[in-house]
Amino acid sequence: MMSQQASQPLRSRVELFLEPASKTNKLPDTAALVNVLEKFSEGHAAVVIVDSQERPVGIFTPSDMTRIRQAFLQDRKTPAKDLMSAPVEWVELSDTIEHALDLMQSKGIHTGIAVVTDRRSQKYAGYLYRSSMAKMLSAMLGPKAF
Amino acid sequence: MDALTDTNVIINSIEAVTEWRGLWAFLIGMVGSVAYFTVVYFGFVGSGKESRDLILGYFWGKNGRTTLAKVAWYSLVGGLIAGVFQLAERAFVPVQSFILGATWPSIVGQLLSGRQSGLPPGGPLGDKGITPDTSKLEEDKAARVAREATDLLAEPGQTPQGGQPTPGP
Repeated sequence: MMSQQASQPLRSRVELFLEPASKTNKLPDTAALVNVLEKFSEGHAAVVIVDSQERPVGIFTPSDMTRIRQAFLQDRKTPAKDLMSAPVEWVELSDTIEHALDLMQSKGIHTGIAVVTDRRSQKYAGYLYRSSMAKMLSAMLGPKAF
Repeated sequence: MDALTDTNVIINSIEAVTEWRGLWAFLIGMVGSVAYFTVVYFGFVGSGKESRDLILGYFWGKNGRTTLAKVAWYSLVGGLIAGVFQLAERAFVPVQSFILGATWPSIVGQLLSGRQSGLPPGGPLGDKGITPDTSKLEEDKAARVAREATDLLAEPGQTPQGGQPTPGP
């Protein structure tokens, strides 16, 4: 009964839960660490680095903070691409939440996952935060689900 | 039965203190903590430089170097935890104290995560590794990183470029 309830929202598409690229965490691959820190200080839990064709090529998450701090204190002009984690795991807008969660689980990704418009262009569309997914899924399932 | 167990723990605790077992456990726990730090510091464990830096990062001060005060703090807590676990033992258990001193962060983490989560494991979303608890943790982590980033940007000689204005002290 409960798994039937849960399966419907899990089949929802990623785009429903997405934080769009327009108001996020995207930086060009020419950015410096200071720009990454600015994004973090604005409250983004992940910063995605994109190339000139808007494809995600690297990412920073809270677990990178230690090496960011070390590099930043040594040289404040360090380019972001020298420290970013790559390659970036991503899902498409049309993928299901279940697929996104399975991918995150299998790859040990905690913060969230990058979303691209489609497999062909791989253009960055936004970021899917685990925390916002949890909130929305919780609301969709209702209090009895927990 | 429970009362008997409680009485035994109290008796053991008194004996542990009067026979200095607690103090020895504390000291051995500290040795365990220092040993763990040393092993990480010299890079004998860990899958690479990144994991080593990740651990050592917690011992760094604002200048990006390891501070002795933090190592001492870490060892002190390791010793205290080893001492607490000794209280439940009738005999002196030096090996347990050493292991506790070396591994106390994971033991404390397991204890806390096991007790704080009121949700059954593997619920409708739990098997996907997503629960309100993890959501809260992620939010806390993001808030911590935001604070750290703001602090770093506000370091002397660094002018924030765009972004949020740096809060005052």
